[in-house]
Amino acid sequence: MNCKQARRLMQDILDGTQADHAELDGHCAECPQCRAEWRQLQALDSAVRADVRCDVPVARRDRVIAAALHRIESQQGRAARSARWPKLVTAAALVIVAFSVGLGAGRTVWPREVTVTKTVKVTEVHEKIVEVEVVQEKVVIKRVPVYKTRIVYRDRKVPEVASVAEPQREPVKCDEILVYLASSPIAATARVTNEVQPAEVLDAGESDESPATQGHWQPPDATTTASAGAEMVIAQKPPDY
Amino acid sequence: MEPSRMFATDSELAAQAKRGDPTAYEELMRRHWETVHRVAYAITGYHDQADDAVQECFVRAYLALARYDENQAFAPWIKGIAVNCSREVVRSHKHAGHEAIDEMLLDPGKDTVARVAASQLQAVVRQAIAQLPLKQRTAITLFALEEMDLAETAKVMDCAVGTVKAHLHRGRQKLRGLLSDCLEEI
Repeated sequence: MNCKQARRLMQDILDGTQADHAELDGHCAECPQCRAEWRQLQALDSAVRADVRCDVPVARRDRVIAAALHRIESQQGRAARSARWPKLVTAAALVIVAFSVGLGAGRTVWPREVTVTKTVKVTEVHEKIVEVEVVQEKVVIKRVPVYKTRIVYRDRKVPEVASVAEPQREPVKCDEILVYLASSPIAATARVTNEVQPAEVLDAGESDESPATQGHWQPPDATTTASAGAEMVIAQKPPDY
Repeated sequence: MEPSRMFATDSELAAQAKRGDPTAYEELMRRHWETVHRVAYAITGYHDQADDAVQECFVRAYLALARYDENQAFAPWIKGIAVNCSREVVRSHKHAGHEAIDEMLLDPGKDTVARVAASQLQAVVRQAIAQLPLKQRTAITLFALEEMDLAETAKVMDCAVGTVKAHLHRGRQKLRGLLSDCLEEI
C-alpha cells in the first residue's frame, strides 16, 4: 500500500464504509507522515462530534418550543377565520372594488357586470377584414361658409335734379311756337337758341319806364312779331334756383 | 405528559398532529429538539440564530405535515427541514465565526478547570468549522451526529452519497490545516 491508497482508506474508515484497520495500521507503522495524518484525523473527528453533541440549556428549549406553538396557533386562527368568511369577504371585496371604481370615475355605481379584457401577445399579424358593429352614429354638422356673390343693390334715392318747372301742357308744333311765345312772358325771337341774351340795357333818360321795369323784357308788340321770315330768337330766362 | 403519548411512536404522533392535535406535535418537538438544535447550531454557529432556525423548522414542519409520509422516519425528515432553515438563516445574517467562550462556561454541573479546557478546545474547533464553506460545514456537522450515516446525510442534504463523501473529505483536510497547531498537542 502506498501513501495515496492509505489516505483514501483513512477517509473510508472515517466515513464508516470501511471497518478493517489492519492494512492501514501496517502502512502507518512504516510511514511516519501517514501515521501523523491518521492520528490528527481521528482527533479532529472526535472533537467535531463532541462539539456537535453539546448539551443545550433546558430554558432555551422551552422558550423556542413555546414560540413555535404560538406561531402555529396564530396561523391556524388566521386560516380558520378566512375559511369561515370566504364568501362574505369576497363579496365585500367586490363591493369595495366596485365602489372604488365608481368613485374613481366620478360617480357612484352599484356592482354590475364588469368586462375584463386580456392582452394577448400575437406573434404573427395578418390582415383581415373584420366587420365592426356600429355602436353609435354620430351626426356631424358641418358649417360651410357661404359667400354671397350677388351684389344686392338697394334702392337708392336718385338725387333730384333741379328741373325747370314746366307747366304741364300739350306739346305744340313748331309753327305754333311763335304764337305760344307771343303770349308767354318769355321773350320770343325768330331764332331758337340756348344762349342767354343779356338784357338790353336801356338808357335811363330815354326810357319812360320806371326803374323797376328797366332791363326787363317787354313783350314785343304785334308789328314786330308778325312778319314772316323774320329771324326770331327765343331766349329763355334762366331759371331762378 | 399523557402516558399514552410517552409510548407513542413518531409516526403515531405525527398522525395525531395531522388531525389537529397540538399536544401531539408538542411532544414531537420535545423529542427532536436536541437533534434539530445541534444541526442548526452546527451550521449557523450562533445560539440565537440556531433558535430562530429551530423555531422556523418546527413551524414549517407542522404546516407540511399533510405531505409527510407516515411510513418513513420522522427524524431524517425534520432534519432536512432544519438544514434548509439553518442555511437560510446563515445567508440572511452572513456572520463569520462563533460565539465567545464565556457562553460555554454557563453550562452548570461540570468541573471548572475541565470545563474551561474543554470549552477552549471546543471554541477553537467551532471557529474552524465556521470557516468552512456551507456545504462542507453542513456535511461534517450532520455526519458527526450519532444517528447519521452517509445515506441519511445525503438524504437530508438532498444530494448523492458520493457528493457527501467529497464534502466530508475536503472539509476534513481544510480543518486539519486550520487546526494543525492544536492537533499536534492532542
